[in-house]
Amino acid sequence: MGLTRRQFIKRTAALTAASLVGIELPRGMREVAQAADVDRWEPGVCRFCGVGCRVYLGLKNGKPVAIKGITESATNKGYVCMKGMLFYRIIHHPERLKKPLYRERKDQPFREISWEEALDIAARKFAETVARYGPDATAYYGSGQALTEETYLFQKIMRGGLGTNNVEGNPRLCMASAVGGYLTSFGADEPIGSYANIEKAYCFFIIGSNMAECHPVLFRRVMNRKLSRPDEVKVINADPRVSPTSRIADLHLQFKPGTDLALLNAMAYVIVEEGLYDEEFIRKYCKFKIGKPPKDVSFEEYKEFLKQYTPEKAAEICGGNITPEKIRTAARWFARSKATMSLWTMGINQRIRGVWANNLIHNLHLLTGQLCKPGADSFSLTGQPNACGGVREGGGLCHILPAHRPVKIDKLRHQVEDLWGVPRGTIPPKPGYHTIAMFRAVNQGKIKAIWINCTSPAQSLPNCDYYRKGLRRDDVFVVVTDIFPTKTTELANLVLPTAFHFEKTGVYGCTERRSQLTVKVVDPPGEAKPEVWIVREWALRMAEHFERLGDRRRARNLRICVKPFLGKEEGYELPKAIWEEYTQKLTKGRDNDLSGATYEVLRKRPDGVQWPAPTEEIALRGGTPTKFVRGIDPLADKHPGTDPYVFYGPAHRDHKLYIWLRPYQGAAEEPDAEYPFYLSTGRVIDHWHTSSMTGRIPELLRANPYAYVEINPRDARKLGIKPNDMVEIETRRGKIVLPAKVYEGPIEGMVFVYWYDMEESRMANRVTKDAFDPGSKEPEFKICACRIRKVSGPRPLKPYVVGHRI
Amino acid sequence: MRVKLGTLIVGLTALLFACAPQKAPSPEVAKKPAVTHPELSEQEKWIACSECHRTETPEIYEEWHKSRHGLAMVKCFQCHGTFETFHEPTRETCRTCHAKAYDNCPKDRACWECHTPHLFKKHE
Ligand code: SF4
Repeated sequence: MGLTRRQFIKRTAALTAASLVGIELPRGMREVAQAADVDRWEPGVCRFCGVGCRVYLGLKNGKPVAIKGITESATNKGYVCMKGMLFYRIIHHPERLKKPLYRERKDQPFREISWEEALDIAARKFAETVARYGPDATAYYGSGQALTEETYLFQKIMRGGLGTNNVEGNPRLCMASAVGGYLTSFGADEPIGSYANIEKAYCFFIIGSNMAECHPVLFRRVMNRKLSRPDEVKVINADPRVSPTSRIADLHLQFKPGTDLALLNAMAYVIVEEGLYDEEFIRKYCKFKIGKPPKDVSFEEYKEFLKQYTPEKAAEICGGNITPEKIRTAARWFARSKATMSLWTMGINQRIRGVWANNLIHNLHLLTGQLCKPGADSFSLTGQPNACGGVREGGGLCHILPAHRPVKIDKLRHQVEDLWGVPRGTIPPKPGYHTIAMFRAVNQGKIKAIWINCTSPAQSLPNCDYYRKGLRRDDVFVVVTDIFPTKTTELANLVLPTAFHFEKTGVYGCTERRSQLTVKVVDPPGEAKPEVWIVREWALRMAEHFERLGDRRRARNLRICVKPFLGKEEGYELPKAIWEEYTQKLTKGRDNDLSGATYEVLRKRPDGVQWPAPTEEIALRGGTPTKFVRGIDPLADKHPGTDPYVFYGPAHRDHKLYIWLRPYQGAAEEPDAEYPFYLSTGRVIDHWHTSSMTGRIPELLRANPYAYVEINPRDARKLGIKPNDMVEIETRRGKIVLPAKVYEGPIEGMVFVYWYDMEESRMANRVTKDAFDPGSKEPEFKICACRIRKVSGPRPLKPYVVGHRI
Repeated sequence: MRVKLGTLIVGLTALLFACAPQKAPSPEVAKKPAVTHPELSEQEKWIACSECHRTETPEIYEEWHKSRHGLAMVKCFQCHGTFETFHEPTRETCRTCHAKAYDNCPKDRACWECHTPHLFKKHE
C-alpha cells in the first residue's frame, strides 16, 4: 500500500470523517438489510435490567431477527441498550438446555432423562425430605428475573403445599435494604414517583450507582435532561469511584468507601443549619424517630444529633476529595432546586448499614419536602427486571407473603390461607431462612433439598467458595431450573431446561411499580418448558408421594394449591390463570392493588400499568404515576381530609413519614495493616449478572471478554503495576488474579473488580465478604479489605463461560 | 503487548469505505474491499474496538466519546458489529432505538446524511 499501517489508518479515518456525509449505501448491502428485515413485530419487555424497557421482537418466518424499542413506552421512549438490542439471539442459541439432566451423585456425569422421570425424582426427593426432616429442610431460591407468575406459584407450593417459609431469591442480595428503607421511612415499599420525574427534575443526586452502565436507558434520560438545560439542571454524583456516570456530573463527591452515612448526615446538617428545610412539610407529614423499638424524638433532638456531622467533621471522616464546601454546595443544590430526584442502587443497598443509608437519603427529601411534586423523588433503582413485581410484591422472600403481607402478622397470613383455601395454620408464622442463612443451613446439612430457579448463587453469593462447599454435599439434593449451564448447574443433581423470554408468557414489574406483560410468540427449544408448567406438574406428583408416605394433609393442600390451574395450556392460559388469582384475590385491597391490570388490559397498554390500579378503568389509563397524592392516587382519594398528600402506607398506622436519627457506621471489614486496600465490585454495561446469557452473545463478550481489576494510578505506581499486568487480590476468603486497568476510577486505596466473570481465577465473589445488614439481611458486597500484588506482566487471557464453545 | 496493540489498529471505517464508494456502487466492490482492516490474532480480537481506535483514529474516537452516544455508552459494535461481523450500519440498525425517526425521515436517504456520523447532531 506504500503507507505504514499507522499512516494508512490515519488517512482512512480522515477520509471517513470527511466523506461520511452524503454517502449512499451500496445496493448490495441495502438488499441484505432488507432481506434480514422483519415481517412481524411482537411487543414485550426487555429480559435484562430493572429499567423495564418496552421492546418489539422482530420475527422473520417465525424466527427472532431483531429488537426495536417502543417509542410510545413511558419507560424507555424507544431507547434500548446493547443488552436489550441483542437478547433475541438467546432464543435460538445452540447451547440452550433442551433436556432434563440427572445424576444421583455430584461426582457422576449427567445423563438425559425424560420429564416424567425428572418430575418424579424432584417430587420424591422433596416429599421424602419433608417426611424425614420436616418442611424446613426444603427450600426454594428464586430470582428477580423470574416472571411474577413463576415466583408466585413457587412460593405458593412451598408455603401452602409443603408448609415452609424457606422462600428466598436473589433480590435479597440487591434491594432488600431499599425495601427496609422505604418501609421504615415511608411506611410503604417501593418508590413514590415514576421515571417521568426525570424530565421534570432540576437536581439529580446520584449516590452509590453507576447508572450509566447498570441502568443505561434511564441514565440516557437523565443525560438528555442535563444536556437540554446544562446550566439549570445540576447533577451530583457521590461515589468512591469515578464511573461513566460521573461524566455528566457538575459535582463529584469521591469519599472513602463506607463513609456515606456521615456524608448524608452532614448534608442534613447543612440543610437544617442554613434553614433550607420545608417547615410546613415536616410539621404536617413527618416525625423524628430513633432506635429499635422506635422512639419519637423532637426536631431539637435531631438538630442536636446532627452536630456530630458538621461538614468539617464529615469531610474528615469521608476523606477523598470531600471538603466542607463541597458538602455545603451539594446540600444547597439539593434543597434549593425546584425539584430534586435522588437515584441510588447497590452502592447504598449492599452495605452493612444499607437500610440506614436508605433512611438518610429519604431524610434529605423529607426535610426539604422534595417529594410528591413533579420532578421530586427519592427513587431507588432496582437491579433486576422483576425484583419489584415478582419478588417484592409476589411473596418471593422468606418474611413476606404476596402483596406486601409480612408473614408474622396473623391476620394477614390467615387472609392468604383463606384466599388459597388451605386450612389456617398451614403457613408457619415464623419467617424462613434469609439468603445467607439459607445457604449456611445448606452448609450445615439442615437443608436437604433446594430448588434454585433462574439464578446462579454458586457465583453470585458473596464468599461463594464457602457456600459452594454446601451445595456440593452429596446429602443435599439440588434442582436447578435454567436455560444455560452455569456455575450452579455444575453443582446440581437435576437440571431442568426452561423456556426463555418470549417463549412463555408472564409479567415483569420494574422499578417504577409498573407491570408489563410479555406474551409467548415462539416455541421453546427441544423439551424446554415454562416454569409454571414444571411447578404445577411437580406439585401434583408430590401430592402422590405424600399420599404414599401417609401425609394426607400435605397431599390435599398441594392439590388445593394447583387446582385452579389444572388442565390449562402452559404457554398462555396457565400463567393468565395464575396472574388472575394473584391480582384479583391477593392484591385486591392492598397497597399494590393490581386487580384492574388484567392480561387483557396489559395487552392494550403500550407500556403496562403502575399500581395501585384497583379498577380496569384506572389500569387502562396506565395506573398511578405518583403514590400518596390526592387526585392522582385513587387510594389516597379514599382517605378523608384535605391535605394534598396522604401517606397511607401499611407499615405506618399514623400515616406519617419518619426522619431517622441514624449514626455513621463504617464497613464490616475495613482495611488494616495486613489487608490495606478496599475491595469493591460491580457490573459493566455489556454483561448481565453472571454472564451466562450475555457471555454467549459474541458482540457482548468481545466488548468485555474478561474481568479486570481497576487500580488508581497512584496506587499502581507505588506497587509497580502497569496496565494489563496480572494482579493478585487476596482477602481473608481467598485469592483471585486479574489483569489490571490503571485509571482515575477508584479512589486511592481502593480497587474495583467486575463480578460477571465465571473463570475461577477471576471470579470476584470468591473473595467478597458475606457480612450482612442486620435489618435487611443484604450482604455487604461493596466493601471488604484486601491486599494486592503484581504476579506477572501481561498474559494472554481467554474468556470463559460454562458450557460455551469459544 | 503494547507494541502489538499498536499494530492492530482497526479501521472500522476502512471496511465501511470499501463498501461505500461515493457513486453507483457495484456488488463486487462490496464483496472485495479495496482497503481492509489489518489482520488480528485471536488474542487481539479480545480487545474492544475503542481501545485501539482511541489512539489510532483519535478524531473519530473523540467525536463519538463526546457525543450523546459516547456519553450514553452506545459502543462501536452496536452499529458496526465486531471484527468478524463488521458492517456498515443500515437504517435498520438505527431503528433499534430511533423507530420514530426511522418512520418519519426520508426513506431513500441514509440516517447519517443528515445526522453527522459519530457526532449524531441533527441536520448539520
Ligand atoms: S436499559 Fe435495561 S431494560 Fe433497557 S434495554 Fe438495557 S438492559 Fe434492557
